[in-house]
Amino acid sequence: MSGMISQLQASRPTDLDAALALLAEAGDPWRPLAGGTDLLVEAQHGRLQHRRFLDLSGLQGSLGGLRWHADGTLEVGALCTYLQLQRDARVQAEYPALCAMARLVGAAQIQARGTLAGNIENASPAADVAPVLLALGARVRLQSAARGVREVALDDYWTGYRQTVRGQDELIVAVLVPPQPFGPHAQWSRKVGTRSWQAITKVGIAARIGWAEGRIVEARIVAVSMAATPCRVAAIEQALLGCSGEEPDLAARIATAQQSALRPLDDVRSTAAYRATVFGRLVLQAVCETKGAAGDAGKGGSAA
Amino acid sequence: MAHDHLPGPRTTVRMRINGEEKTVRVAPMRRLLDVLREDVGLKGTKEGCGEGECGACTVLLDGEPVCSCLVAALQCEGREVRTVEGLESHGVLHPVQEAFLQHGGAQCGICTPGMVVTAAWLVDKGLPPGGIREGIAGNICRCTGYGAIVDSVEDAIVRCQRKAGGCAQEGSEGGAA
Amino acid sequence: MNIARPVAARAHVGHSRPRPDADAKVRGTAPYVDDLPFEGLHGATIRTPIARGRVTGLRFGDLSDLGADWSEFAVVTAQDIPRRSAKDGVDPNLVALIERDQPFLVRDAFEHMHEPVALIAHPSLEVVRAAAERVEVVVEALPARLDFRTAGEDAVFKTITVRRDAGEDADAFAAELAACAVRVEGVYETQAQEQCYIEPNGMIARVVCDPDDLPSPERPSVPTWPSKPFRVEVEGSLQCPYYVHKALCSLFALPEDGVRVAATLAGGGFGGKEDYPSILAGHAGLLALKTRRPVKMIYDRAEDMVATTKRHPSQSRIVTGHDADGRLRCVQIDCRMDGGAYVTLTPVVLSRGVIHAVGPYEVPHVRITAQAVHTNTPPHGAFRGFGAPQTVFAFERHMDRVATELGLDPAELRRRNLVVRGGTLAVSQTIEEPIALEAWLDEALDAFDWRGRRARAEAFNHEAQVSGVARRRGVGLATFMHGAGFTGSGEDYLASKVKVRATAEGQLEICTAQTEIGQGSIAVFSQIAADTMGLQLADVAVARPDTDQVPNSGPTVASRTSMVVGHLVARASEDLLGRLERAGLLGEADARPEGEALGEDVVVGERPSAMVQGRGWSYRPEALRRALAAAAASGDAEIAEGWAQYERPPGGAWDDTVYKGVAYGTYAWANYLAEVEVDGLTGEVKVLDFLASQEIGRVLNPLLAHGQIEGGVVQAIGWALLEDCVWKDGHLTNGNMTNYVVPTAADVPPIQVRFQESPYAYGPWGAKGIGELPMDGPAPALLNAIAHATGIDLCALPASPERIVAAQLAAEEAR
Repeated sequence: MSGMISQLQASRPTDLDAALALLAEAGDPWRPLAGGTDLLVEAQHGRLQHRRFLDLSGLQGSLGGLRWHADGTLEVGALCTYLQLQRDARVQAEYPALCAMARLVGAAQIQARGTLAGNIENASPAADVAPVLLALGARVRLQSAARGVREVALDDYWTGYRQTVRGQDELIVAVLVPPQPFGPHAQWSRKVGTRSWQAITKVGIAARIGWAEGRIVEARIVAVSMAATPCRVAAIEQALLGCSGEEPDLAARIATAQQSALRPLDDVRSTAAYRATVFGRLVLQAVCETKGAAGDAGKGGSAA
Repeated sequence: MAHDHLPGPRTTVRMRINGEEKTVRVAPMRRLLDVLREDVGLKGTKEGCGEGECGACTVLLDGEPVCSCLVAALQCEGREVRTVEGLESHGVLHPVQEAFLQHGGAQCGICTPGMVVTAAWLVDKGLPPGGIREGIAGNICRCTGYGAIVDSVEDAIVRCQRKAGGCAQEGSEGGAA
Repeated sequence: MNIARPVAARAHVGHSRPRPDADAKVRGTAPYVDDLPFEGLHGATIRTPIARGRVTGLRFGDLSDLGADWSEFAVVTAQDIPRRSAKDGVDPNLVALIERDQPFLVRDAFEHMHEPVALIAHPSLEVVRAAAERVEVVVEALPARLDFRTAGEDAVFKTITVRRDAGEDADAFAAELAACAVRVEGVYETQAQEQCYIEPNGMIARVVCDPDDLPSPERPSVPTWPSKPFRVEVEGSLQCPYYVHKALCSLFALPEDGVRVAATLAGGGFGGKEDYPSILAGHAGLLALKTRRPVKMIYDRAEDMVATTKRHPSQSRIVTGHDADGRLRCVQIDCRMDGGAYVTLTPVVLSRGVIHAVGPYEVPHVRITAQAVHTNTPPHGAFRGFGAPQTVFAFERHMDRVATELGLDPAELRRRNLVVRGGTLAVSQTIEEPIALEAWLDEALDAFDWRGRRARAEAFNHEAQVSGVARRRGVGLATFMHGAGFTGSGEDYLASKVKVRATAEGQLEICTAQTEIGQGSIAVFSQIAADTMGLQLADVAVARPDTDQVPNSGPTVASRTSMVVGHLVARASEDLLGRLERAGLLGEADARPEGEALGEDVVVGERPSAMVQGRGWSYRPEALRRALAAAAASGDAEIAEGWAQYERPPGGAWDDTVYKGVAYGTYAWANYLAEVEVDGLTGEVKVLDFLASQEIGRVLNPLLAHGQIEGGVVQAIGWALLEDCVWKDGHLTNGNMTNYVVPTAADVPPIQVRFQESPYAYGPWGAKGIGELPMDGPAPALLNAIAHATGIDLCALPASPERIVAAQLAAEEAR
């Protein structure tokens, strides 16, 4: 049943405790509202599941911006937008895949509003930036009035199609991206949409592939629009470990590993056959390009 | 306005629109787009799709372009909104508006308000790595094929470079960073 | 009265004058229909939930959570439209267009999903939209026909055949074909395309009736149909005021002066606001009649996309026979177009497709059979190009496949077949005009460095293959033409009229039914009239298209506005000049002194057309202004108004019973070239460069003409590469701008636009129509370029990454 915008309730607390107190209320749950770029689309299509909305825009002081921890961890506030993120010089240097993908979310208008936290909580299988965060080993910091703060690895955050571990009383307050063991060159992502911007990913990949002495020593391969959530593909990661990228049967190995792990669908945006074929190719491309970048970096090349 | 006799919660939102302090009493999740068009009477901002795809409803919120169809009124509390009507200053068009006139950047004109708002932002704040075409990728135009629009933005950038200090100071009052 | 020497100058035509409507557009003050001040009710439409069946009832759901009650709503169904009120005895519920088969509101049986069944109105837009979703249309399902390609002959509702022969019968054709050195066959398919104007359809209706017919406290409800004469007035976003006018006269059984249709600025049309606004105006009018209050109906994007018309899907089966050197001997085309559920404009779309199907080539033996079939999808309708993009795609893609077969350069194959002056097109039209298609082709090829680019692309691909890079480049060409104005006798039938009138301020006001949909009609008409009279642009105004104020100058379609109606503007302006002279308001004393400089940009000595003498600039502008003011002050229409009515230019006629003759008075001719890069990993195609070269007669306003061409090319790039309508059970599943993907600025390169000018004797200053032309060529040029890049021989649109990857996989399988 579709309600009307006029009947929706919203609150705009100006401190975090007040926000958490609202979330802890019994009854009709409050849905957090950050950039609104997903939520207001749902409202337009009459698909809202909630009637109460917790606007976070008054919490810029506690949830805005980004910070660097002493150990090099990047802490992205829940209200940090894609535009703010990609403008940061240190993020550009250390997390190029994150910036590259932030630049491809929607277009400028969406990037000025959308947030990493929102992208994670929206839990779309076609998410842009959240898969990169997963590849980079990011953690989500949740806070609630009763339970305090907890951190959940993104690996464990999505539990099913559009479902997350966040409790009704919890709020994502930050996303933590650890320092990258293999530096910027191991990060690789590619989004295939129908057009360059304003596109929803038909098939995509986010990867971190660590190389040592010409061999893959770590592989985190995230598939986008290939399953109910963005997901790491353990079978492919396993298959890649120890590879040099030169194996003549590498494509076949990837394909075999992929077949057991991923069952993409036909939908309004693309076909299962296309997704399956192109995803395998993107994995191979990620291997080749991270190898090249790692090699250049190892030589002290100009890539940095 | 039409929605006001409906039942439901209302909230008071204060924002600056084109430099003027405005207080509106609205349903909290009412779209900024509707507040601008219906409650404040600024009809320049257009609705093309209602889902953030076409960019016809683009306005500047605290100096950054947003789709006003995807912003809840409540979220504008204390913020600065600039619409197409606010691009000109003391009756003088923003250089990008002037350039649109000269280069044929407007055809049917329905995308133009959103397009010039984004374009003014690009001219005032600088281009993304992919240049003008990336910068306006969130504004769909179905008439021009974009060439005249790109020409207009290029020309406006040149016009502003010729003036010391660029356009931001001249064209805007509240282009907060 | 005899002025010594006609000056015949043009000071405005041919120059990039800014459009008068631009200033308000860049300020955001230009009013579109949804921006107009409005007090009244908002309407919404209740639609069928499946593709075919019968409506057995309506269930009105509970609204209490909306704080509303159905008693607050006005509800209109087909029952409100009396069956026998039509003057001509047909059901007034059927829209008056070509065939009357499409109902404004479903009475019982329905033929497509999202067909209107009922209308509701309420003071709140939000409530009416929410309430519309609470109405259940109860239906009994019937089997639906959804694939036009496999539909049986019983689905065919229009067939067109074309024959051109040296010999007589079909056997001769078969023998000719059999005798050809080379025969090439192919099947080509094109998909539906959404116009995707950024302003959805919208309409406001008002009813003016006798006070006795208004509700009152004593009589709160009144019958839908007033007892005394009434008037229905609508204004909205539309291309054809008089189409809407005719439809409303018929629906409401009103005389011509009982209906007023006024156009607002349209935020894009592209054909999408050609026929559909008649239905929307009918709906808004019915609600206004039922409530006696103003009613506004603005579609949201989703409703506009699922319920209104799109480009006709098509399938063309082509067999050509050639001499060994590639010369075309025989062409056989079997074409089908999907008309959707009702006839609407399909017969004309099919006709235009047929006439353009063999392109600008000389072929002695031609057989074309074209069919339009019904399916249970919303009717397909007008969209820029109007049938030609489909058949041009098929034939130009086919020509490249022939070139490959023969090992010929694709440009060379085309060169060998181009029609020359005195030659004959497939529909047996002899080209009388001076044309130089070969020279124009060469000019375009040289401008794009065709040979050099092809060679560089091939070298790039070789290099890429060696180094294991997946990207491939290719260069493609399409050669085509587009007829301007209505087909054959169509303009005779329309008999368009234009009026210009003097105003009290000493201005000239141009009155036509042409709507400004972005194409620049206001600017171009102003330029034409100003130069015909000898006025400055500031002295010319264009009246709002309003059937109370402007004559019927026909629809704003078919690339006819500048060429056909613009010509009438010139003739009407000259008519008025003569009237001012005959009334003695202009005389010898007002004549411009011999040798007086007219200005730097002025071109002297060129008549506006063979039917216009061209005395523009004979008088001093201030004298003209004074004469115009005096004429207006006289109150005498004989002096203050100039008129022109369409007259067919000399030359042969068109016979649409055999599809032979002068199909169009003139054609624009074009060569489009594209360079693409295909990412072999993903099948994504990037357009690296695009050149659109065309002969369009005189360019009236280079800036606007450039914009028209570039805009059309980009719309066609969208059709070729990105845009696809995904249907499931007769429902458009990607009916939003998220999933129906049109090009952004980042998806297209700057378009190079080049004009050749070979003035047409019966267009204003030689202008031809250009609006639709750029829609025809890009798709084949791009797919030809993809084939050159990859060897993938795609014959269906769009050339999506999915299709390209599927073709790669099929090729691997075949190996």
